[in-house]
Amino acid sequence: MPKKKKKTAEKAVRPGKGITAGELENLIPRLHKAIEQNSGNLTIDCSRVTRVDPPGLAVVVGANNSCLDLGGKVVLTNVGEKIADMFHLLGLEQQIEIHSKIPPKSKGATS
Amino acid sequence: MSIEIDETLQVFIDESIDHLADIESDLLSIEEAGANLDEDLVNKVYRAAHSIKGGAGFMGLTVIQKLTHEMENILGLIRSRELVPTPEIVNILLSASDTLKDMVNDITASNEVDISRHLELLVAITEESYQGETAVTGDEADSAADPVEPEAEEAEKPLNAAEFAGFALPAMEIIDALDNGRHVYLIDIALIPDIYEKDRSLQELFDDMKDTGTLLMGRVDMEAVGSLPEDLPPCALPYKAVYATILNPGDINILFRLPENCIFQITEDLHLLPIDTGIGVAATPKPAPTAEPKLDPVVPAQKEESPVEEFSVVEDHALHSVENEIETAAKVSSASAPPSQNVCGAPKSMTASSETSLRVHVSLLDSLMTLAGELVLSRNQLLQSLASDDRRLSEMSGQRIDLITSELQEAIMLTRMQPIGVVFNKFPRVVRDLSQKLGKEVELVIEGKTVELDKTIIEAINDPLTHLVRNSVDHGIEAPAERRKIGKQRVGRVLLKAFHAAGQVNIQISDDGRGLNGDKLAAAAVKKGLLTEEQSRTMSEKEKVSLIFLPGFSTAENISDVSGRGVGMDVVKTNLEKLGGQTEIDSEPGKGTSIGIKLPLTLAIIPSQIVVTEGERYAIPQVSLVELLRIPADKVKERIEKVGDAEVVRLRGNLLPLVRLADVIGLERTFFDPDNHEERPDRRQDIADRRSKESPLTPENFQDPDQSEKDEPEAEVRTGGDRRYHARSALNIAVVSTGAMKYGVIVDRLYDAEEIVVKPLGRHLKNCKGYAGATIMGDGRVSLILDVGNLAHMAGLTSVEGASRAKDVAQEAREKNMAGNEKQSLLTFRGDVTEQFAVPLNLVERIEKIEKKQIETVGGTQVMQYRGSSLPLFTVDQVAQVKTLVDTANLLVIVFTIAGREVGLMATGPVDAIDVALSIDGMTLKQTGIMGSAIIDGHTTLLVDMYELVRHLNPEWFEMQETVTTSEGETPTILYAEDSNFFRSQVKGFMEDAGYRVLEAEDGLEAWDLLQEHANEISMVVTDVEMPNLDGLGLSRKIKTDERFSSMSVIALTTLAGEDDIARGREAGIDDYQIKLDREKLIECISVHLNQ
Repeated sequence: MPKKKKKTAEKAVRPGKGITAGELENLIPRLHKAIEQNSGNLTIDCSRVTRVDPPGLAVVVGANNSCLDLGGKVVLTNVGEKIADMFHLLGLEQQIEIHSKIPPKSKGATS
Repeated sequence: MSIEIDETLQVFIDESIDHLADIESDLLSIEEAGANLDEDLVNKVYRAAHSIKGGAGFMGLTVIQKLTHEMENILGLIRSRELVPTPEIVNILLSASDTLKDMVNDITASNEVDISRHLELLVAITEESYQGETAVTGDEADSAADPVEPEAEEAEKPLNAAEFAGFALPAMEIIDALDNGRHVYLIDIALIPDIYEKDRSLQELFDDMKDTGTLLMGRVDMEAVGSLPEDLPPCALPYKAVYATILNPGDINILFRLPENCIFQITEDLHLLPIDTGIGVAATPKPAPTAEPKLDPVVPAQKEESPVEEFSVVEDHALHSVENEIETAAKVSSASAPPSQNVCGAPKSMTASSETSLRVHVSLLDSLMTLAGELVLSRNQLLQSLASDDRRLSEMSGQRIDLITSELQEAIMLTRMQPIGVVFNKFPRVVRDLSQKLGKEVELVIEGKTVELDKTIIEAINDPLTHLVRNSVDHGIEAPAERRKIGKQRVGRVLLKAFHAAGQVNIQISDDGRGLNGDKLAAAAVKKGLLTEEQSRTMSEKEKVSLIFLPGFSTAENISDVSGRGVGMDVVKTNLEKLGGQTEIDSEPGKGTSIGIKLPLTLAIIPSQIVVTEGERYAIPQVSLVELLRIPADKVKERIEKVGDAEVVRLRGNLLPLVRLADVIGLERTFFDPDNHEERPDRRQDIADRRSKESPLTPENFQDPDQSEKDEPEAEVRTGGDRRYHARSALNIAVVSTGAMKYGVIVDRLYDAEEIVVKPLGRHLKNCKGYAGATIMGDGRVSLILDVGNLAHMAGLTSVEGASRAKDVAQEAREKNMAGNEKQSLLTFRGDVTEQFAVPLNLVERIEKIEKKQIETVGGTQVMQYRGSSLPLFTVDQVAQVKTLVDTANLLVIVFTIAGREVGLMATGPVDAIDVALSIDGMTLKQTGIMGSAIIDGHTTLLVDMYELVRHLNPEWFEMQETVTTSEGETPTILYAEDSNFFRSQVKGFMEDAGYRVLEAEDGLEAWDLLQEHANEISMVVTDVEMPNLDGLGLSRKIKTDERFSSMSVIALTTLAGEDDIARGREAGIDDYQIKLDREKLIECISVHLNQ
């Protein structure tokens, strides 16, 4: 069966500033590819994400459901404080593994 | 009570119409699901009824309020699974919703409508439900004494909050909050429609919550979202939150801007109560007691908001005693009555209330406002330039106003666009009711609900579509037993599909029923005297089935109340034509019928071709226009033929009937005489007749026709020559289509295409059938818009006559073609005066006439503004060693689509579309951008390779193409059979460029040998049709009958494929037909078949 050559799948999908409706056209295929290549385990690196809207959130939840179906899970990493707070209010932390962003050490600090 | 429609009431009407829009299809889905309930759907309908009830109460619309209240009761029982939505119950609900729609549409009379029958039936269901329940509890004596009591008992049994929320509630925190005097609410919202689609952000929602209270717990319903879809994001994201605040129930939904039925108050015992907003029924003065108190024994008015209606104990019991009532209702509301007919005789008159307002997205209004602002600025600029007599500034302002006007027009048109789903949504009900009545089983499949059309068209297509769908179910689909007998699925299928194609909306209504028997139709037409036997013999199958569109034609043996009265289909066709639409029918006996409708996107402004006859301008709607032909005067005799008494033009192997516009609309024929620049009476009998007896062959009269085209203005230059060689003596033909047939309209001159504003004809012109309307041209003069369907009729050129006359000659022409070389359709043009070029005609998208000053040079590339964007322009001499494009004020731009982009090739005239049997020399004059040469009309003509030309100039456009591999990581191999060296090298190049490996064969026999030799490598066969030794059809037959290769796709390449050829190919196992040298379509086709 002929098919297009595949690029190497991303180990962690790193969306841009927004997981928002306007970005989903590009994001959804990347998530699919990563889920497929990583046997249902998906890491979303949220280090650049500053905005999440309901369609974006629905895609994250949908991705989590797809991973669960394949026996894997979604892990959200480097989630900024504001977004982490929102996920908390949405009760997502009870259902998806979320790792908050580690604040950078201040320069010149000594232990 | 008289009701005046003020702003608030209008909002209620609009919202109610929105709520009711889906209620019918939702109820049908609920019915289909039966006991396997879709709670979200039931909730949706429940909320719709609840919202209408609330608003109606507020507005004093007591009858609407009462009816929705009873509907809500039933839906509440269904939601709590106390009632299974049987077809009988759904019939009653549907009937009630019909009446509700009528009342909303005629709101001023709504309080006068008699809904007693509905109430009786609805209450009977509710009553029976509760009586059954009482029996279960054993408290028969109490219930007999006081029928209200069980309901009151239920009222005290509110829903458990945790059960409703679907998660464990923070009980301690809730009780703490309540102890501290705060209210605790359960907020149940759909984040996408309730937040995102209302232009709010999640952050805003949470900020609002934090500002006024504490969010104790929130949870997204993960399961409801489903898995990650392929393209579009999921559209459901339910969220429930427990929220503590000092805000009263009346204020809470105002703060969150959420519907009241999304918010519930949590009580101390962790049960739910609906909130009282003060807007709904609770705040409304109670309606006067009804004369029929027995109608509402179960749910007293003062308890209508009680949760008991929504969440009562689940019971499974039959509604034995109401069955009779229900049956009666089912009979009354079944298909015997049209869907709009209601049980209680509510007024059917639809006032304009639903048609006088439109919902427009705020962002669209914003863009209109911006454009209006820009228009004002440009106007100021124009006024200033006129005052200062600054010509340059005036021109700039003019261009700017032109641009803004186009954008403004587009934006305004968008405000009128509505999804066709508005019409389609009614058909599940129509099909359900009708199939029930006829004892048939029919599945209706609807596709393309989101396709948008102008509001006027949406409203006007309702009746024609209803007729067609009803026809499909009534006449098309067979009874289940009959279907089984002939080996079909028991359930028939009707497909209703809308899609965009070529700037039009296409609607297809097809069924897998018994189809139409063309011969039977033709025989009936002969019997009715609509057709002669001779005509019927020469008709194609398609023409025969199209006979059902003739007025007064029907073959239905039994006239039913559904269809078969013989007045339907022609009315359908006429009505669709009035909308500028075209209707086409295809049918195969035993297999089914498909009716295709093409409609313009809008009626108000339409693109049109302007033509001139006898000095008057006329507009031909672009939707009816197929192409424009210009036959040089000296070619007229050769190309125009007479078949019987009809004049026809030979066009790409087919003969096209011709009519003279002047003759049809009753004008005196004239012609332009270049000798004295006058319009003179044209006395020729036939188009091909000579006007002058002077021989054009005498040297003093001969001039090169091409030269005459070049020299503008030609009339001034040429004097005394033969008019046959004069450019203005050329025959101009607008080829138009009525859907069933094509014909050519001969006009004096062809002007530009223009967007025209359609104005209706005045009453005094209503009987002029040849015109569809009028428009006002740029110079203020009025032009009439031609109705090509009626023009054909007026010319006596029905599809039957026109086609049958042409048929014999067309067949003869086709046979002649087959005997000679393979023909190729080409467009010839020039760059320099003396050098002729050609490109395959099927690659040409459009030809535009431009002025040189329209060309801009930006970043070293020549472009022109075209349809709102920049069109890159090229010349052949940029790549190939040919003469430079002639420097002239007027140029032609031939538009192609290459590598997914539109590009323009600059050229000069004369251009001609020709079908020639080519002997192509692929060697002598081949160079970059030129694929070869051929002798056309005595000129050595260079064949331009547009792909190579564009690739040479813009290689980066092609770099995005990905490499193709098989699942084993290998490049797929295509076997290509073609006897012409020229085509073989060209097409092979296309395929190799697209990443495929190609094995070549010079005929079918060699291809067959190669296939066996490389059986494991070859993924697909692409073949020419006409080849020596073994032709393409023979090769295909061999492949398809050999079990080793039977699943291999075979694509045939051809230059001209008629329907008969395609049918023969299909019989031989050809999977697809593609046109030679149409690279993009071929590659796409290969990709599709390889991936199947």
